[in-house]
Amino acid sequence: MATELQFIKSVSSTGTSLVDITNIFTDKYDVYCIKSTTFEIVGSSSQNLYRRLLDSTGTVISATEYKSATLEGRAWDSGFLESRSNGQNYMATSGYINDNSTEGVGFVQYIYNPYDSSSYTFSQTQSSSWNDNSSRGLVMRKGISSHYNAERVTGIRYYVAAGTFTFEASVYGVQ
Amino acid sequence: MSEYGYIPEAPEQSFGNNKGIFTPKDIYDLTRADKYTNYGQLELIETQIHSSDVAQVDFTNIKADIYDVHFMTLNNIVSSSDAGLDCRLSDDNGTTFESGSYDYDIQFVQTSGTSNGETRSTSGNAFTRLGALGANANEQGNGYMYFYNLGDSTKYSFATHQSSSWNFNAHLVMYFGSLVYHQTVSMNALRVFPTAGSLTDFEISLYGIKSYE
Repeated sequence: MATELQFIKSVSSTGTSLVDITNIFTDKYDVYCIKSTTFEIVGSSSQNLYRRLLDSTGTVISATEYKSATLEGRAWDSGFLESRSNGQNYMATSGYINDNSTEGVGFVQYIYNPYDSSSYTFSQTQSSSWNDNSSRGLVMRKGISSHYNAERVTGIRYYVAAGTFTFEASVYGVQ
Repeated sequence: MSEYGYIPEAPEQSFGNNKGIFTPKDIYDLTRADKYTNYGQLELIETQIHSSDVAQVDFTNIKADIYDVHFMTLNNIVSSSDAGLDCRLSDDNGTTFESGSYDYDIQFVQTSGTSNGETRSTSGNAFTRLGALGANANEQGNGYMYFYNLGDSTKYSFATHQSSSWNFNAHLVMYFGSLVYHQTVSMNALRVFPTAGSLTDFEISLYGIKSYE
């Protein structure tokens, strides 16, 4: 039974289009928790926060090896949006924000079995973010992902499709 | 003393990077300076357990200057009336609690009745649907909630949650969603309360998730 979080690494980055958090998954833990309270876009509107995994050499895994399903709700609009794929080249997204520093995001992501080379890597995440582009507002996302190639994963990349971003996150092992 | 007979410069100490042999006083001093490696970064701030029926449960020492993410567990929440379970934030140490500027989008699924749906608002008066409480025997709510940036006066206060309740229609219902207090205010207290009646049983724990630069 998981009893505690053990701090592994923090990252803080400004003005980049991607952030690699390297060498965080080891044989010490099976489950990891990543929390973030800072995701700010510069120079582009309405960007998603994307994720890909890093392999045993620290190289980004950008092949079509991810399945994901995300449910999105919007406080200003009824219903929900479903985004799902049985094969794409990134994990489920967290955060959907505009170019405004008072916006931002809060999310926690759990990752399962990344270091086990004989297992797929699984993930779940839930985020709360604010996007005021075109009078929007709060965006809720809850998603699951699986990297369906059994290989050792040692890190994760966060990135945006356009512009640059400010990002902070901390990684924990779940003991 | 080094192997070459001189006293080397003391190494820089930090979490996860402690070097040397430490006396109890060294450990005490480094711990106070937040530079000693003590694992266990889910740090309990406070647990409140029912001892008498109350209209609300207040946490007035949330240490928002230390933690940028808080985690709250809600266990065996029972109300004297059929009610929802809500939460409000305070920026004056619990003297008053904000009753506006809350937005949320919450999805639900349940075992009977309307199978699924949405509760949302751009002008809510609280973080809502932490649970659905019934007044009959065995009707209770359980769940967890993350809070983000409560103490940051430059950012909105976000939250995410998920709960599982045996509600007043005798249905098992799951709520999950995202919530925001969309003002840039530094919060320093929070309140959990039923929307009707009083809490006749509960165990609520608030944790901070510690991080290091």
